[in-house]
Amino acid sequence: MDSTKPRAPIDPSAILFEGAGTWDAIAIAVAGMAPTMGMNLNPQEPAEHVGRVVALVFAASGVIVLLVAWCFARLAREHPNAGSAYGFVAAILGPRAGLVAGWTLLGTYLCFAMGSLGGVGLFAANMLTRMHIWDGASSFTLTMLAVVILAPLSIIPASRAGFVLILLEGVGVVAMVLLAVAVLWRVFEGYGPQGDPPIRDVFIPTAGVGVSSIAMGLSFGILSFAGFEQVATLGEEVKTSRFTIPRVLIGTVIGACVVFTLVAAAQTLGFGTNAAGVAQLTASTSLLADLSARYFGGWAGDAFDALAIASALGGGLASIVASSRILFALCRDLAPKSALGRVSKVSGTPRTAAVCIVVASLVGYSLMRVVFHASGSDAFFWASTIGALALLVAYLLVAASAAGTLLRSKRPRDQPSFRRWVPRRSVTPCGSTSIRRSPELMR
Amino acid sequence: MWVNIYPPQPGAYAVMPWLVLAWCVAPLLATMINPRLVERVKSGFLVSSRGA
Repeated sequence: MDSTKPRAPIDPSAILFEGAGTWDAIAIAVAGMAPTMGMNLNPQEPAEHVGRVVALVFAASGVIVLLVAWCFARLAREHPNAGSAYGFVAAILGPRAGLVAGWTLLGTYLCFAMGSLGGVGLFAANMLTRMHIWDGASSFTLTMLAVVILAPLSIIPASRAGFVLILLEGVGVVAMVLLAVAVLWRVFEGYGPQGDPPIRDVFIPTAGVGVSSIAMGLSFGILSFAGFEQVATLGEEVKTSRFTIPRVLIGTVIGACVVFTLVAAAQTLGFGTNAAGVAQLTASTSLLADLSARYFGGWAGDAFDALAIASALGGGLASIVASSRILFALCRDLAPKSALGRVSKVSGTPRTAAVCIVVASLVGYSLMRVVFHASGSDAFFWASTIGALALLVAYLLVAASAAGTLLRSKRPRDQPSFRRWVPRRSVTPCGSTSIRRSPELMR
Repeated sequence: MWVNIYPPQPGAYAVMPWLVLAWCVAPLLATMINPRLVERVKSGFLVSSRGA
């Protein structure tokens, strides 16, 4: 691009209100993962493949996800923007790749929003039916109710949405950690299903669990962290975002890795590391609720069901906030006159884009239920699976972009070791030319 | 991806990888139909804000 060409002044209605702080960023990152809901539903899948070493799988998954987090952190430091992967990839791999990344991530978060909203309805219906408050409760009606609750929260500034998310997710995470510690304490005192607590079993696979099984388990473990990168969409709203967002990304993954590993260990030891215990764990439809009910009574199980509902609600809100920022960023560039690419003067947020995302989530969920006759459970898992598949494509593009930044970096400490040893001229003809040229498109 | 695509999944899950593929390819098709979209990204907000 010609650097001498005069640039158009920035339209104030295209600038987001920069009022979110570090805690708001942490809240979006944590809520994006919906950890309480995740640890209620996710460990069963890897346990089917790896048996008693679920905690080991979560620890290893955390290390792998940390590499993805580093890619996002690196790009968030260099190219903070509301489009997240859209801006990151466009800056490094070019506009077309950027559009693919942004559009794919938009689809991912839209599916996550549908899944989370569907999850609220599904879990709430199960709980209300079990407690005989509303026999035969309709998950569809409860999902609509969740939309009505979340719609106003999605158009308020990120700082206020962050406060709501801290309440929704913070309580759940603290309760989950306390439960894990309490269960481990009870197990170590000899109240577990096996008298002598077999701690080492949690980290040693049984015979027959091979590399293939571990790989399958890892794929489910990695997806349990999905959503942490939603905080990257606050690149234009968080104060000192170049400093804050990379640290929140890395810190959230490390924290989640510790919590997930601890909770998974408590779940495995709490149910038992033998075949019967693993079978009970994999058969559970609500792990935290079943575990807490087993050790502390039915009231604790109901409380954790309620916390899982709150977690799904928080996950839905975080996904709507993130996807509205990406839609806003895309429309700001592609259709600058569209209301979708404008910021509300009242709230300083992309209100029209947020309303559009809420309506799209509602329509998507209703289509699954009414047109494709999906049950509440089907809709939840369909949306989650599509979102997870699309997210992997976005991760791939972001990882390629982060690699591109390393290759084109002029600072010696940022370059891979081979670049320090091989003279620059000898590397350029070997393939880095195209990667090094693309960023010029965005300059 | 391996978990969800290989082996082929039953029912609706068999269709999902194709849905995702279609969603991901859509922007490429859009830029082929309307090449001005690429120019708009090149001269978009990120570029303007860097120059400001």
